[in-house]
Amino acid sequence: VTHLPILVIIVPLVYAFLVPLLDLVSSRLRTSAAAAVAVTHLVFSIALFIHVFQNGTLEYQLGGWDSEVGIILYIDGLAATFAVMIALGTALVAWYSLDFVREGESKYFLLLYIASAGLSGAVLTGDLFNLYVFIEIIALSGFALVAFRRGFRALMAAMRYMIFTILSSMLILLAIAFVYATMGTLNLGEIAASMHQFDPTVLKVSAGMFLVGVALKLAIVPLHGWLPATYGESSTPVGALLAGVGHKVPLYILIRFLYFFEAAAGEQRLATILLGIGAVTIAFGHFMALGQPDIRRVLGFSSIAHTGYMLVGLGIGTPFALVAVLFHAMNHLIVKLSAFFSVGMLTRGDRERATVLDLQGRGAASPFAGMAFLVSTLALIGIPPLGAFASKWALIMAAIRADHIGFALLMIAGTVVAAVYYGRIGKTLYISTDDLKPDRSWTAEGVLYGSAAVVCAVAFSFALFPAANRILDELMVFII
Amino acid sequence: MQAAYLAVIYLFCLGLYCVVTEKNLIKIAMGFVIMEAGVLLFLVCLASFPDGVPPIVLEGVTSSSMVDPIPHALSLTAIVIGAGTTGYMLSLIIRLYRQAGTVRIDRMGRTEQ
Repeated sequence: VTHLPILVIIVPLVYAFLVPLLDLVSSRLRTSAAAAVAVTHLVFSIALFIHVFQNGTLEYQLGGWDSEVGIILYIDGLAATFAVMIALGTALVAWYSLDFVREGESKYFLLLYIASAGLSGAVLTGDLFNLYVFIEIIALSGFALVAFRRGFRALMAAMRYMIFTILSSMLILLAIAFVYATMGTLNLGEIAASMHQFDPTVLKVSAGMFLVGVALKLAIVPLHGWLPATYGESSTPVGALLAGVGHKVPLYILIRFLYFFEAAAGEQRLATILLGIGAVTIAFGHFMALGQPDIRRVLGFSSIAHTGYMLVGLGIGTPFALVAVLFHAMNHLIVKLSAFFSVGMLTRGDRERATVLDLQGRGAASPFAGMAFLVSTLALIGIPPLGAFASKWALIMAAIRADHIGFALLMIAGTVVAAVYYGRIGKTLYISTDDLKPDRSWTAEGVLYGSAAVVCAVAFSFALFPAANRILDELMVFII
Repeated sequence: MQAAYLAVIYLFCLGLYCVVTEKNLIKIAMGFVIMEAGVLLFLVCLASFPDGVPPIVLEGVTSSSMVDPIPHALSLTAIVIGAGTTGYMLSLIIRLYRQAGTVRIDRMGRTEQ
């Protein structure tokens, strides 16, 4: 139990380096070990979460060196929650990949599990430079995964992803150097404790660079250029990994360093910045998704919009809003994974592009995947009683309670737009080319607008959703 | 010392300008290397001061005259990461070049169609 935190990072890492050896023995062994390691990773993360839940914040000293000279892992409720989310997400991606990886492609598992170790490490570390190292581990394995077994367009996407990500890493590294220059420490706890020693100008510069770096990774709107191409061109499990799991690490960093940005910009101004950028991100993501022919890109733009929801939640800044953001992040993780997986199944794995038209009539051909896709799009839209409805509803409630009625209305409007573009895909799924007659599609559109109307009505009725409320209250006590 | 910090700013901005404006992938890679050199120089400058000695415990060396070893450790790590990233980036550029026949990002879009 005492070494639980480091095990969460080491288990996938050790497996990653054993992959070539296991592959020498047999590829079956390698594959079954991959499944087993994913489960072990998840079990350790959950055990860590339970441990932190019962005993409070945990500090783990790497190699027994105390925090003055050594590096520590710092696990509080927030970190433990994200660790479980990441382990669950990577486990699901790994299981999906068991079928996806062909003979002689074992390096895929190597990259996937290195990414998994990096993702877990980034949320558990208590050291600023260590965080940078883990971010780079995620980034490097991510570049390779995006280009994995795909054509020229994927290479281009990987290149673009790489340019944006390295730029963000450089900014973060420089910000870290500034922090060390002023504070003389890289320990997150000590930085938080001695914030007031910061020269305000240096603080503003380094927080600015750090924020831009994180925004690049989160794909917040003016800096989102890499995301649609990367999600659209990479293969299904990789897209799922980036959209579902990879997206959570910059979100965690943003939440973890909120106090830092607050000190730099002032609480009021930071809230204005986050609300403003969040609103633009929501609007942009939803409207760009409307005209997209490629389904994975639609999912990418919807990710951008959902990032916007989370930013607005962080901008509102009340504890309830923060919990709503975390709840929404969890739902987004699960739903995005299931959306990507079902798209992968519907388009039969590995095609270069999956346009909406490719899906014509596929829903009837593979009913299970079709249903999964429908359910996940309904969740992405935010239809009750799916989890994403509860979290979206909590975000809207948080906005109303904090007197940000405009943002609540924007989120509801975004939901309607999402209903339109997901409805379009869902409609195509169950219509074959021959009976695409106007009267049929008119009925389908009627259903579509009907569902949008239901969402609006429910969102406006402000009816309490008791189960979700109770879960949220309990989580709130624990995480904050 | 002042001159070193000016060099840091110059290198970082030069690299950033190069990355943002250039269309040639090789030049973008060079821009990143220049930016990184700026950050590394900054880290090294942080640690050094006049008459500082290496942080090795020897007889007659007081700890106050030693330079801070942490920035050196950080820059070593950053160099390793930078080398890995640059290597991967160059290999990606080679593969793109083989398929597109150009290293200019604005011309690649055309060959793709």
